[in-house]
Amino acid sequence: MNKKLVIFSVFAALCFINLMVSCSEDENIEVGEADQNAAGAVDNIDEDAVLGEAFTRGEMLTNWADNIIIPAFEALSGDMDSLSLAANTFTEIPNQENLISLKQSWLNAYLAWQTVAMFDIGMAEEITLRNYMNVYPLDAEEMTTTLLVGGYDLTSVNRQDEQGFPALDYLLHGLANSEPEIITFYTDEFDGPKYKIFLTDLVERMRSLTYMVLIDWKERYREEFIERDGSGATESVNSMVNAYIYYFEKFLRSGKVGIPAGIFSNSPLSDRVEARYREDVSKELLIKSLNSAQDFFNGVHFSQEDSGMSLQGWIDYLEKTRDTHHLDSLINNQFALIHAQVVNLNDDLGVQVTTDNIGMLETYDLMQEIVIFMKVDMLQLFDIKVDYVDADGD
Amino acid sequence: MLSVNSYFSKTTSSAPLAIFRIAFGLLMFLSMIRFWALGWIDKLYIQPHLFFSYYGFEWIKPLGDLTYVLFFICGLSALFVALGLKYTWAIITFFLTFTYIELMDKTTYLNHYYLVSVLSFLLIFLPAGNYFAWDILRGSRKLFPQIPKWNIDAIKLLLCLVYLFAGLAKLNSEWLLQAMPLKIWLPTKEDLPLIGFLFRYDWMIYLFAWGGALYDLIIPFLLLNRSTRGVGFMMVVFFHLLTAILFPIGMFPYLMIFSALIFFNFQFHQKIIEGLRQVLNIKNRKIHLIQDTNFRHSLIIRVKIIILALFFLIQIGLPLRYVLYPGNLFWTEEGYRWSWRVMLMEKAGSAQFKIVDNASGSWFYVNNEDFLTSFQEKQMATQPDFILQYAQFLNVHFSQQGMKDLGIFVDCFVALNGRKSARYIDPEFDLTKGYDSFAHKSWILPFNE
Repeated sequence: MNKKLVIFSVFAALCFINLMVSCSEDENIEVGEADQNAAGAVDNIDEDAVLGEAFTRGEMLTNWADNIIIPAFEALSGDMDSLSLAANTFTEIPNQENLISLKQSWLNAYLAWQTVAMFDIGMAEEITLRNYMNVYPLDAEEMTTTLLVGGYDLTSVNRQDEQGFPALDYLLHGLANSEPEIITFYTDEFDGPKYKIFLTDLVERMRSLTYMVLIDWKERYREEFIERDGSGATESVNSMVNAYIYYFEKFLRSGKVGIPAGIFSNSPLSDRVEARYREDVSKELLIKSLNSAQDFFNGVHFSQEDSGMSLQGWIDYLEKTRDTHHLDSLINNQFALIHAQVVNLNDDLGVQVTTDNIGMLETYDLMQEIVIFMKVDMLQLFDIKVDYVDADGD
Repeated sequence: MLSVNSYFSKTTSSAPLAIFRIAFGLLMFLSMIRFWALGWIDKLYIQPHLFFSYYGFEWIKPLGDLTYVLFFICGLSALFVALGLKYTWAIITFFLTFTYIELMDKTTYLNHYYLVSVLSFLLIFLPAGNYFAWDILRGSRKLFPQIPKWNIDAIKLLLCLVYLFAGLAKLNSEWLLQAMPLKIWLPTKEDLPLIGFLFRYDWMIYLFAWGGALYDLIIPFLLLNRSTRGVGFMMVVFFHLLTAILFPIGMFPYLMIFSALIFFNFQFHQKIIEGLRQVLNIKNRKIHLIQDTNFRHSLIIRVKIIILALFFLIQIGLPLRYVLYPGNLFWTEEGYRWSWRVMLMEKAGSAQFKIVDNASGSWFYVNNEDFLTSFQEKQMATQPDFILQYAQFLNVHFSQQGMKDLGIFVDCFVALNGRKSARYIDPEFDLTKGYDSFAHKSWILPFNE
């Protein structure tokens, strides 16, 4: 009987510890943090016995937030301010000079957007920033109706393909074939004011959404992002890496290259390229987003002046103790191959897919190889579950 | 023959089986509630567009909103099993509904769900409702304080098989020499309080790997032997609670812990029953006890024994069937399921399907997101039978859209246990020409070490 009692007390004690451990793992961030410090102390003592130089998720998260993400949003926000100014100047005096300057501001902001599009996390994820900034193809017909009828609600999910950069692209380049003709839309006695108001509304919405995300990063989310430095599926590193790969796969590989090249549709779709009305910048936008993706992978600061811990460094750290494949070099070499391929494409990817789609398809295939390196090899190395699904395993 | 006969005539107390029934029923009831409360019925069985069937069970599909009813009946029958209310019907209903649920989509296949199905099948043939059960209180069922000893041994045998096969499966170079896949999984648990720091040490990972294999192999003997039973049970509790902390494995650890109680002697179970009687305030009514049981000689019992003998033959055969397949088991997964191979590999894959119009030569890729949930896509990309079934679905889908004479090819890459990803399926093989069977799938590319 006594023996049984002992067994049961042990059983009960272990159950209790179990409960405690799994609870603190889930919720108690403060305990996690205290433990992190304790782990850091262990690190100093046993540096030789432990896996070499320490890698901490916290360090990586801090680098991402302070040196990459927040500066990128700051830059976009600044470009949004300029865009807003240019839009106001143009709507006050709709002439060619002001149109040209507005177009330039639009392009600057669009390029800046490519540096933040992958950060679909925190407030950006909450308000689905991407869906209001850059959904293409634009529904130009519906947008025109919306604009002329007035009383629109740009926050509606149904209006996502009638706003953002693609809508501005149309309003600045697509209304007619020449700049003077485009300007007449804004000077028209009846509809001109409607175009002006809509243009201003679009820009203001983009500006305020960007600002909202930036402020949230600075005042609230940065702290949470860095504090959630665990290895769990809902912690920052897992969420960010998943968001990054998802962006690369869906928006960079498929959106900018695959879909226009017709890989999902049997034949090329030249009207699906980014900035289709401007015509000559889709390659530039693609290159910008590729570079941003590679910079994030390597932890290169937004300023380009320095770099810190990121996925490349993490791979390097983990491969020290395992069979090494130099996965980080494989990925960087692949980025270089893509780059070499993309440089030769036409400035207008819409022209590229109609004249020589093979070049686009080859670009897609090179990007697909990176997807495999990242989604299969890298995630396995990191032990991060892709698109984490909350279900039991065995 | 005589000794066989005398073995099957041996009797023992009903108490252990009654406790097992109660624990099993309650745990299953809880796990059904948990599954429902976590919203998994909707996510796993309502939302997906298509479901991956087991070969031969293509007719079993989720029932739309009625799937909730299925889970309700399953949970309710588990509760009935625990209470011992209409036991025979309850356990049959539980076995059928639970197994139906598991057969709906193999995306969710887990060894421990299979264990539940197998255990509940076994329980159908055991008189677990004849002691400390509601039916007895109502007087609607005869009380048997004594039951054949083999009834309890059958459960012990099944549990021993589970442990032994799980242990044998770990005796491979990946697990023992490379400590894979624990070397991938454990270091990410570095931030766990109290024990996290352990996983920074390489030798600790090896200790876990060797310890885990040793545990699985010796625990049946520790539990069977009276003098080591206490130690064995403490190890069971420790091991399964540890896995509960480290891995997302749901109710499984608790099922294994409570199941192990069956190894204790009947006095132990009798004490639990007395305790429960007091707590629940159930009067120990004087019921006419049936001492002389006629079950020993009945034809039904003989039939039961034959069925269970076949059942155990299958239980031993299934985990060994992999030897009939060529190639690396972890790579092809032919003969992998139903074999108590738990936590043995980390596999990740990516599969891009190409639909070719054979007449014109034009082609396009499939956006898997259009048809599969992310969970299904993940499972599909590393398992050949999923890839084939998905291709067959795509074939039907695009044929219905008016495409004639199409070919389906896949660009599939898989990484296994930390190796660099490699091409998995022959990219030249037209999957519309493939068919599922128990035979080896020759279009799986060979595994290169």
